[in-house]
Amino acid sequence: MKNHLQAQALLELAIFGSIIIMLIGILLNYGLRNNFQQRLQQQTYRKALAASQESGQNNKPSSVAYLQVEDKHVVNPSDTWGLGTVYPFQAQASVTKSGEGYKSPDNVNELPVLRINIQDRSVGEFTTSGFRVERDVDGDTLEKYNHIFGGTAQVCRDGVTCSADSPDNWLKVGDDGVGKRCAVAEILDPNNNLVCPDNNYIYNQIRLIDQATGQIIDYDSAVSQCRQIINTGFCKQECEKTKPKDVDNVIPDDQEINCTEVCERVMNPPNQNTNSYDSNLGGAWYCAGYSALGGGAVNNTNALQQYDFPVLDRIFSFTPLKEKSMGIQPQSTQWVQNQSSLRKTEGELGITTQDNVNYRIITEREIRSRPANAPEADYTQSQVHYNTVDVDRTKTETTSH
Amino acid sequence: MKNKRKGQATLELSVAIICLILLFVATVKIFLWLNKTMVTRQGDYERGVTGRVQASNSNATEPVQVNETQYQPLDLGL
Repeated sequence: MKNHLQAQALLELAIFGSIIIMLIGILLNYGLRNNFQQRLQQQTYRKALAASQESGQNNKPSSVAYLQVEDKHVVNPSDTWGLGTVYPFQAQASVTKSGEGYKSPDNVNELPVLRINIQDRSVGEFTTSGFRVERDVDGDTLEKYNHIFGGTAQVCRDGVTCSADSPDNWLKVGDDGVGKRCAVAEILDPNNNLVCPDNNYIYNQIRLIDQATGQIIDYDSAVSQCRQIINTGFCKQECEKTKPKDVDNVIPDDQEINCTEVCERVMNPPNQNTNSYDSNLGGAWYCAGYSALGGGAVNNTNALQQYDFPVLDRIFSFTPLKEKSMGIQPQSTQWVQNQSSLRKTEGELGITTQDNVNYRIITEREIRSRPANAPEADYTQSQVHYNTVDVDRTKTETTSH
Repeated sequence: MKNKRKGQATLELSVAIICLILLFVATVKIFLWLNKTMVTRQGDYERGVTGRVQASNSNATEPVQVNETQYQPLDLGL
C-alpha cells in the first residue's frame, strides 16, 4: 500500500510536471518566434527606409528592397540542456520616397535592386530589372510597349548608336533630336517644309526597363509580360484593368487609351504572328519559341490561352517546384552536430564533474540569379551560403565526501 | 500506520503541487515578459527618438533602429 501511494504521487508529479514543461516549451517557442519576427521585420523596414534616402541620386539605385534572413535558436525546456531548433526568420521591405517614383534609371547603377542579408551580413545585391534595346519601332506600337513596360520607353539620340547602359544618349519620346525616320514618303506642307504624314515615324532604337531581364526575375511577371506581348485578348484584359478610369469624363477621347487598338499592334518578334526571336530587332527574347501548353494550335486572341515558354522554363530549370522563384531558394539543408564531453575530477574535497555540450547547426542556402552584364543570358548561376549557429552549454557540479 | 502512509502521500503531493505551481508561475511570467518586450519594442518603433517620425526625417544612410539595450531583463521573482 505504501509503495502504491508513493508511486501515485510520483506519477502525478511526472505527468503534471511534463505537461507544465511542455506548456513552457510551447509558450517560449511562440513568444520567442514572434519576438524575433517582429524585430527582424522592423529592422528590415528601417534599412529599406534608410536606403530610400539615396534613391533619386546619380548612380544610386532608384529603389532598394531588402530581404533579410536570420537563423535563431529557440530553446526547448524539455531538453536537459535546453537545446531546441534553429528557426529561419525572414523579412522583406521596400520603400520608395514620394516624388522619386517618376524618376527612371539612366544607367545600370540606377536600376532597382534587391539586397540580401543573412544574419545581418550582406550576401549580395541583385538588380530586379534590366535595360533592353529594340530597334525599328514605329510610333503607334510604342504605345503598346509603354503599356506593357510601364511607360519606361526611351529613344536613342539621332546620329548615334546607343548601347543599353549608355546614359547620355537616351531621350524622352517627345524630345528634340531623337533618332527617327518617317515610315512613309514625306510630303510638303503649305510652307514647303517636308513633313511626315500623320507623324508616322519609326524610331531607330528604343530602350525599355524590363523586369524580366534583371539579375533576379519573377517567373509569373515574366510570363504575364510574354502573354501580353503575344496574346491580344490577354493584353486587352490587362490594359482595361490598368488604364486610368475616366469616371468624370475629364480625359479627352483622343487621349484615352483604346485597349483593343493598342493590343492589336505587332511588337518586334516574338509576337502574335511569329514565335521566333530576331536579334537584329531585339524583341522579348525570353518569350521566344512559345507554344500552346499541352500542344495543339495556338489561339493568340483567346485571353485564356496558356503557353509554354521554353526560354523561361530553361532559365528556371534549376527548381522542380511549381512556385518558381529566384533569390534565396525556399528549400534549405540543415546539418546538426551535437558534441558532448564529461570531465570527472576526484580529489580530497570531493568529485567535480564538468559537462560540456556544443550544439552546432549549419544551414545551407542557395541563392539563384542571372549573371550581371549578360542581359540575354538564359541560365542562372548558383551561390551557396552557409550559416552556422553555435550553442554552447557547460555545467559543473561538485559532490563533497 | 495507515495515517502515517496517508501523511507521506499528502506530503509528496504537496511538494509536487508546489513545484507545479512554481513552474506554472514561471511560465506565465516568461510569457508576459516576452509580450511586454514586443509591446515596448513596438512603442519605441512608433514613438520617441527611434520612432517613425525621426526615422523618416533622418537623412543618415544608417538606419534608425530601436535600442533594446535598456529593456528590462527577465525577472522571475521566485
